[in-house]
Formats: sequence, C-alpha cells, structure tokens
Amino acid sequence: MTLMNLSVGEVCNVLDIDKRSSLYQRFIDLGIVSNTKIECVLQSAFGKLKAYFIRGALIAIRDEDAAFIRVEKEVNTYE
Amino acid sequence: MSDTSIKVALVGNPNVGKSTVFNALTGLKQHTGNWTGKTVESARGETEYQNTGIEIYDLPGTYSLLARSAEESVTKDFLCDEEYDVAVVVCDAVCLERNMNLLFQVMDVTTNVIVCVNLIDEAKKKNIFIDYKLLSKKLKIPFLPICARNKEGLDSLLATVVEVSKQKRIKKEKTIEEIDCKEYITWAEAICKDAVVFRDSNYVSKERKIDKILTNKYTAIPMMFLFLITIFFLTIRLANYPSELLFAGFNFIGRQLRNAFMLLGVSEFWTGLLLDGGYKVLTWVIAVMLPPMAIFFPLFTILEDLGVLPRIAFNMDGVLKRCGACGKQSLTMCMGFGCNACGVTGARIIDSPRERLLAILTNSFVPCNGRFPTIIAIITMFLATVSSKASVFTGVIIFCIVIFVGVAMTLLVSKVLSKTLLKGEQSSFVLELPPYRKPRVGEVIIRSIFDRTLHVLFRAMIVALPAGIVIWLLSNLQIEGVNVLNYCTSFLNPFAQLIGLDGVILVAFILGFPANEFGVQFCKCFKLTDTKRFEKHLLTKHIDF
Repeated sequence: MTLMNLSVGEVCNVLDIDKRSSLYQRFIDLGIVSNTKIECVLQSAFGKLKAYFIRGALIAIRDEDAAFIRVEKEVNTYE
Repeated sequence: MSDTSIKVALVGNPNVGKSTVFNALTGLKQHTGNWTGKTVESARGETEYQNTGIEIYDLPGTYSLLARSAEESVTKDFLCDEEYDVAVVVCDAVCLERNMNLLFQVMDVTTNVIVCVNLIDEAKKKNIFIDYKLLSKKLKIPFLPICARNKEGLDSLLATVVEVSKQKRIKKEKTIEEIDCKEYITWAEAICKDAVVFRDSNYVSKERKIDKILTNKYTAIPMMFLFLITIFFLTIRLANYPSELLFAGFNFIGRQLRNAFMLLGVSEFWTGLLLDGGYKVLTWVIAVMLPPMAIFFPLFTILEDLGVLPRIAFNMDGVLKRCGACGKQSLTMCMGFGCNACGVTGARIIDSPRERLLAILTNSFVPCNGRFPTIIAIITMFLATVSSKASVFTGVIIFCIVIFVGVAMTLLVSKVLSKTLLKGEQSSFVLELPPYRKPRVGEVIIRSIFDRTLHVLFRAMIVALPAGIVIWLLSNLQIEGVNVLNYCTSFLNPFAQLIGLDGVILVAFILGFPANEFGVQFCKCFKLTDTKRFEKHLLTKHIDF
C-alpha cells in the first residue's frame, strides 16, 4: 500500500519512496526514509490532501504525491 | 566597526523561529509570522556584545542545502560562497531530530557552527527533554537552548558566537552534491535516541482537537468566516468611536488655529491654504485611516501568530487546485489582505514558476487593508449609516461580500489564466502546519502599530498634506472668475463621459495616483466645491469648523 491509502488515525512504516516523484528529495529532507513512522492525522475539508505527523512535525501532502511513498501499516504499536 | 565586527549567518528549517531569534538579537523589527517561508530575502541586522560588533544575516528557511526553490538557493549560496565568521543553525526543540539533517549539511560545508535550539518553552509544554551537554559532546559543537520569544538564553548565545569566531572559519571541501541525506537522517535518529526524551503529554492531543475543528468538513468554512467576520466586524464597529473623537478633536484644534490666525492677522489666502487645504485633508486622512488600521493590523497579526493561516491553506488547497493554482496561494492571498506588496513578494514560497505567476497576477483582486478604510468609508457613506446597530451589521455583511467577491475574482482569474495563458502541469508541494502558538498580545499590538500602522499612516500623511494644499489651490485660484478646478473638470468631462464617469471623478482618479487609497478622499474634497451633487450633511458633519 502507499501513504495515500492511510486513513486518519492510522500509523504506518515507510518502505521506500518512488524516485519518479517530483518531491523525492523534499520527502527525504523532511525525514521520510525507510522505517520512518508516519501517522495520518488530518484530512483536508475540501481537498484530496492529508496531514501527517512526521518526526515531530505536521506535514500536509496531496494524495497524488503521497501515492509515491510505499508503506506498510502498523498495528497499534505507535505510542 | 564593520571591519572588525563578526559576521553571523542564521540558518534553519522554515518556521523554527529564526526571524524571532533575529529580532530578539538585533531589535530590528522584521515582521515574523507563524507560517513557512516568511523570510523571503535575507535580512541584515546589527548588535553588540561586550563592545564587539556583531552583524547578523537572517537567511531564508530551508529544509536542506540541496536547494529546490529560489529562496532556498539564497541560503545555500550564502553558506557556500559568502564570507562570514560563524554559522548559527536555529533548530526547533520540538522536532530537533528532523532539523539535524540540515545541521549536518551545514557542518559539511563549514566549520564554526553553533546550534541554537529555539522554542524550548514549547518543548517543555510537550514534555520533551533535551540533553544539550550530551549533544555538544557527541557532535563537538555548542548546543544552546534558547527561547527567543521570552528573550531567554540570548546572552550566552552571543557569548558563544564571540568565542567561536576567534577561530578562523574554514570552508570544507565536501560539495553539496556528495551529501547523502538518508544517512544523516539515520544518524540524527541515533543521536536523538539518547539525547531527547519524550514523555507523555496531552498537549499534542489538545492541538489535534483544535486541528480537527478547523479542518472538519462541516466546521472549517464556518470557522474561517468566523475569524474573518470577527476581524472585520471589530474593525468597523470599534473604529467609529476613535474616529469621531479624532474628528471632534481635530475640528476643535482647527477652530483654535483659525482664531489664532485671525488674531495674528494672517491673510485670508494663507489661512485658506493652510487650514482649509492642508490641515483639513491631513486630519481627515488621519481620522479616517488611523482607527481601522490600528484595530485591523493587531487582530490580523494575532491570527498569523496563532498559526491559523496554514490551516486555511490546507483546507483551501482543493479549491485552488481545481483553479489550477497551488494551495499555498491562499497564504499569499491572506498576506494580500494585509498588504498586496507583501502578498506578491510572499509568492516566492510557491515553487512552480507558473503557479507563482498566477499567485502574483491575481493578488491584486484581494483587497488589501490599505483599501479597507476606503471600502468601509464608502459602505458607511452610501449603504449603511454610522449610528444605528442594525446598519453596522449590514455594513459588515456588505463588507464581507466585497471581500468575498475579491476572493472569488482571484479564483476565477486564476482558473481562466491556467486554462489559457498559463497552461501547464500542476506541481506538487508539501505544506508544514506549524504548532499553534500563543500570540504575545502586548507585543503584537506594539509591533503591528509601529511597524505597519504608523508606517502606512506616515506614507499617507506625506501625500495628504501637499494634496490638500494643491486641491485647495485648484479650487480657489481663479482665472477670469472661474476656478482652476472647474477648468480641469470641464476639460476632462468629455473624456470622462466616454468611459461613463464625469470630470470630477476622473480628476480624482488622476490626483489619486500617488496613493490610490485617497481617490475617495479626493472625490470628497472635490465634491466639497460642488456641493449640489453630494450629500451635504456628511461633509458638514466631518469637515466643519
């Protein structure tokens, strides 16, 4: 699955980022690498974008961009 | 002093409070807001520590030196090519781990690096504990906790800057291209594992609750309108009282001046020129513009400080995306409410050139608050009279409609442009939603009044005084029994009629060139000489002594 499929309240672990994404470098700058834990926190009221809790910061990413980040869901281990 | 002073570069992620640190150190009032990309150009300021001059450069915030946008390359270029003595990396105590990626990159290009961990008060609230000694030991550079907002820890920061600058800074060989961020992120994680302790805190969950309300499908729009309407309502409602007081005061002083002039035997011409021309227009401008600005600017600044604006961008992205624009455009639009010039320069936070151009071109449709007094004046003059309660409410509603039409125009034009002249791929972006920050109300009021209100008012006054004198001359100098103004207006009348105006209004437009806010004022003064066509009571109420 990809980050895009994550719903609010769910937590995932990053597997890798597709190099074809135009935000590839920016994602890494934000600290998104393999094994990074990401929690989906907010859904935009009108847009197809969500806000994720990544390494202490809240970052909004559009769904079409989040689709480039491959993740696996984590079950109830995020504290 | 500049030869011997220490040059310091301030670097850091966006929104870690670099500008606040800069302000706290230099006292230079650079406006800081709670959103990403506030510093669009590097600002320079000076300070002193124990008789050593320190020159500080505030560089635009960047996530990494592998620059992607224009403002980020400013930072990279400065760090790699400029001459400076110390690089201070400002970090956010709340997400120190992520900030370290940039820190490592800076350490790759230069020596003499100091880390200043800002926002320790926020970290404290969130139960985050940082072992600065351990960090210093591990990385062999000084880590200093500070809270720029409360001016804590600044002295030791300056002391460390002076200390570190004694060593000569050495440029490092490593080029930017060799930097491997992934490695740095894992490294940062390992270091922070020992040095940063997170304890349970319900502070974050409180923040999330507010977030939920602000971004919920049903509550987002009402909340947004609530914020805007509150600001506009307070501005319109509260501005009346000081405005009337000012009018009364100025009229009183005007009468005293007139008496004094008479006693001194000043000729009628000079009395007219100075009092009826200069003084009248000048005080009119102050009385009309000062109160709404003194109320609007602080309120807007509080919204900025709170961190509400990025949430609005988060909500509006869907709408803007459909118009072919970037979600960050709603930030520049909000900045446009403050000042269109700020909105246009702020468009640098948008990475894609096409979308940036859209944001710049359409910003003027958002009425900036220099135009607010004029809009409010027109509304109160023609559509809702000042006194009764019901009319204040209508005034606010009409005002919101005007604003709404402005915003709708921005969107419409963006859409049209992106479908025609500015066709192109939609770009991608990430938007950081900063934590909510409690605005420092006292400081907000002082800062916004001195930085913005008085600044704008002063500019207005410079224009208003000579303008009043010129208008008085035009309407009182007579050539063959007819005053000059009438020559102008009747000369321009045929052209004006062509475009559906009349001579008077066209002249007002032309004289309004230096500062278009004054078009209405000019109109009013003109109509003074042409009372048949204007509601007399309004004028006599305000300009009568």
